[in-house]
Amino acid sequence: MSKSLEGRLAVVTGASRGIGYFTALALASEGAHVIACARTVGGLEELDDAIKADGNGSATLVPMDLADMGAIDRLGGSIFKRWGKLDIMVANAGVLGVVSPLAHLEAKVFEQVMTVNVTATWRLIRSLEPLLLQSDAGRGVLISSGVAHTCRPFWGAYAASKSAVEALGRTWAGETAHTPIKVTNFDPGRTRTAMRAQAAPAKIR
Amino acid sequence: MTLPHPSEVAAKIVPLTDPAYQESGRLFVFREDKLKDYRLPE
Repeated sequence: MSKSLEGRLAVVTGASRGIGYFTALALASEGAHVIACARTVGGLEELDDAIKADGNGSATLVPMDLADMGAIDRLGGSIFKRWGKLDIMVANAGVLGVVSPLAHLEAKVFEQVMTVNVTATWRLIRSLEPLLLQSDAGRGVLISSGVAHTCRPFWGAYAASKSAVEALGRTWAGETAHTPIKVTNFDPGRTRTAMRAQAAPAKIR
Repeated sequence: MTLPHPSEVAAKIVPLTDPAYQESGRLFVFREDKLKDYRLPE
């Protein structure tokens, strides 16, 4: 039976665990070839094994740090050389930083959250939009968070970064309205992930 | 309260990547299983 994403090419960042891992697996299960990006090689290899065991899609593993903007640019170049287009981009990789009053946050923590969550998302858009435009149905999904709207105390860096991610998604949707590209911001809510365990260890179940 | 597993979240992301999906510039809220509109510029 044909799968809904047969022949589609998808980039998923943060694909070694959590929502990124299972999104990559689900896309592959629908027949997509997934370019799985993450820092943790072991997690990527586990994903590759799971995709092979599922027997539908396939994967290319790209160990990379989303804080490395040059690597994001090179990713776009490599995809262009090998495939000449991209159908799906799921910008999922993100870091929580530290749950702390804004006035107590270390500058390096705030800057890291902004770099990985915001600047890398913009850089992905810049690097991959030309490839998505080569698809007949380019799709972008940017993973946000409910704190982008609730601005929960002590979650300031993360909340600000996810507000910025949503602004990127909305702006990008407007800029590509005349093209086949469709962009969706996605709020997963509280989920059983390592990030949630870091933020609220007693509440992860 | 049991939090949803990431595989449940992933299952809601996949349809948003389908060529047949035609919405753009909206927010999908997993807990409400709903697409929401943003306030448009005046």
